[in-house]
Amino acid sequence: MSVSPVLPLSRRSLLAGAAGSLFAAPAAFAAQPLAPSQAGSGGGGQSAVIDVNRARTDPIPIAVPALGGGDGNSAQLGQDIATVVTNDLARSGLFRPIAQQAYIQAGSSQGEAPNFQNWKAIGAQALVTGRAEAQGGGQIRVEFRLWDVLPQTQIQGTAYTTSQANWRRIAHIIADVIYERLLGEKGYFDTRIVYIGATGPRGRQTKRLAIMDQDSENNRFLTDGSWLVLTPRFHPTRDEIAFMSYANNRPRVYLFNLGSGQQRVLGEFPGMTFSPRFSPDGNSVIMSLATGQGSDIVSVDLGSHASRRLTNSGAIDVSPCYSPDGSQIAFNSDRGGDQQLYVMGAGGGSAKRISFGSGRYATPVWSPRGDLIAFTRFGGESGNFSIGVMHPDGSGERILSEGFSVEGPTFAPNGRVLMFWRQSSARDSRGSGFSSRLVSVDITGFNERVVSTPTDASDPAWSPLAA
Amino acid sequence: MLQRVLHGVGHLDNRTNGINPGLRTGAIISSAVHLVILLLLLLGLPFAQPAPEPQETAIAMVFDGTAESSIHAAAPAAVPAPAPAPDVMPAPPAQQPPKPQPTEASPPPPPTPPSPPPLQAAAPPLPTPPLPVPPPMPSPAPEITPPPPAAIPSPQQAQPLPTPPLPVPPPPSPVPPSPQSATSQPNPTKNPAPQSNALENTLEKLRSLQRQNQPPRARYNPQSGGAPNGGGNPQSDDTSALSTSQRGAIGDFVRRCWTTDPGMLDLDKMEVLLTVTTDGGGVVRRAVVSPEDAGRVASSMRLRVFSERAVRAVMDPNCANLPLPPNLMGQVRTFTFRFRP
Repeated sequence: MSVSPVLPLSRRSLLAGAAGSLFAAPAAFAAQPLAPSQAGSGGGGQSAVIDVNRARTDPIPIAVPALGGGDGNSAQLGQDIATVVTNDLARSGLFRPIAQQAYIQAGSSQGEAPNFQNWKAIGAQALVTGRAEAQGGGQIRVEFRLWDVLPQTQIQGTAYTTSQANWRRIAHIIADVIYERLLGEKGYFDTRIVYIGATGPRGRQTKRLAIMDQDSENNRFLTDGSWLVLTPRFHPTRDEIAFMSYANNRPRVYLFNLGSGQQRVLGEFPGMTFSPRFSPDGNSVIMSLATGQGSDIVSVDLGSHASRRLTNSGAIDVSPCYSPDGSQIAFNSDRGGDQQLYVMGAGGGSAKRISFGSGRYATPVWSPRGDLIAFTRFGGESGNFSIGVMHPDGSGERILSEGFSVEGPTFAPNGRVLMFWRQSSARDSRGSGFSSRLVSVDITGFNERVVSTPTDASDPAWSPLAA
Repeated sequence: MLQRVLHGVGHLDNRTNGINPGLRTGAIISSAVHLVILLLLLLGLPFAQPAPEPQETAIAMVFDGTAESSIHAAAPAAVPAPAPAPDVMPAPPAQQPPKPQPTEASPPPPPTPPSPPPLQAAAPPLPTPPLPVPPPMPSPAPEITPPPPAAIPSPQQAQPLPTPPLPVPPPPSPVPPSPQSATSQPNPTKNPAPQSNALENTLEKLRSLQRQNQPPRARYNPQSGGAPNGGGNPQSDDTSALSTSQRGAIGDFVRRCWTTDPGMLDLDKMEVLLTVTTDGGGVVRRAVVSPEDAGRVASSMRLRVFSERAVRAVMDPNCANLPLPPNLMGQVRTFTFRFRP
């Protein structure tokens, strides 16, 4: 039996092929409208999605009605807490609190779900409700709920019990929780600012160490002004401040215990010590030590008081600051002939220059997030002082604020806001020329605000989060 | 065969009656010769006679009736012989009912026992074009709007957004098994229009070719967690029914309400897919993170916040009324949005 080669084409297959081509034509024709939708999605392997991009920058509209309370005192407490929370959020520039006059209803306080339609109608995207109650023994209990109005869901609910005197802190803590829950980063409202308060005529000013809450409340002076004080810095975990004092006409770095009010000199050095800053773990302090023609950077262990010289360039190396992980140190130096920013390892050694713009750079401060280094720049094209940020490798330099004299940036503990001080030659509302004020600005360069202080102020330093 | 021969002879006789007499004798002679030959054949081959008859009857049984009747003919093979049939009758009666009996005797498997004969069961897909679309879903609104959250202050409530029953199309009704026949056509013709070159018929032919005549087998299941590779399949929703310009218009429309925090760390790397459900009027009723992004969002606070802002954007009263094309209105629709800074 012979086997003939099997041809792929038969009469049946030919007919089927013809029919197939007949069928395929309209099918392809019908599929044509779908093709662009698959191709036009922007790549990435994804197809047929609706792209929404180029977002606007807009604060989140939020309603913070007064927290409910049982009696009159509790009701007042609820209103006070709501006011503090509202002011905190508004000051950040990232929230737009809706005026209470616009509310259709009061905030619910019994834990039931709010009538979302009433809040949606006034444009609120987030809503805070809660209750404040005075309890026995001078204690208060404050509970709050954060609602996402459009999806109609509760996204946070927390209660606190504390003494009546702490009600402002509770309000700041609530604001921090709201901030973190709606922005994805820790807040900075339950913090304090230490700064140098100045009083008196120019040239004969009395400068005192002062501390206040970040919202300018609870201001108090820590020193009496007998000696000039400068550059205070917070300890990362303890209630302690490092600063420079000219006490007894010997400029040295001191430690100030906020609990006891005690001061002590940080080590005995042959020359002047200044611009201290704690290490991230709080176990040591780095500072500048003036030696002959220049100054070096030294590290002092707080336990053993042993010191270690980290630079020895013969140049002026000042303003050291650790990176948040403690592995690097940024400082400014004129070792290249001009005052510029450098970064070196925490143990010293070779340093790498990171600033290359026009003008001179000083006071580098590493962001707690690790992504930016803030600095003071002076000179350059404008001839003014300016506050800016750059990446730790020196790229992406941006100027956030400029002025006759702006100096001394400090980061909020979440790395989101900078505070610095601005000196003005013009007479201000208090009638004094060359007045200095504290100013805060978002790291995006928006939302610059003057921070209220009872006196002229300079050299701010932001505390870590208290809670 | 024999009948044809006889008919042929008859025909011949009829024709010879009115024809010229010259040929008549020839015809008679021819007939006589044929008769003689025939007789000789019959006498010489007496055993060849009975064969043809059964074949004719058997074939006639197949082509006389419909497909249904042909089934009866094929199944009981004992029927063929018309003559001995009465003796074998007891068996066929039991075989004949099977057609009605399977449907009546087995009500549980197919819940639609009174369904018409198999032919009709196969037909429904054809005349009902909107079959692929899930059934009416008259009550999407109450299902889509999530129930009011409970008053428990635990923050966990935010994450496991109550997953209300999505308008999942009901599983396709199982097609009752239609008895197959070797001779019946398994699939009804797609084009019942008469063969014609008329424009209407041509269009009808195209329409019938494109028409889906079977219920969909693959369905989008939002609770399945996406495809095994985690990539999801945006084609499973209605987004692919939009043209590029339509998608661009919708994206532009929602962009008005899309805000981010420019100072957020790593903002430029963020991206989230949302599954957005609209009602018949094109208004967004529900927006959730797509299954393929749920894991990423759950593990990153920043991305979670980013996705929540995206949800707010698409549910904002100023942007929730999506500019859908008219052909997508009137039913619950699902779209995939990709939000980027």
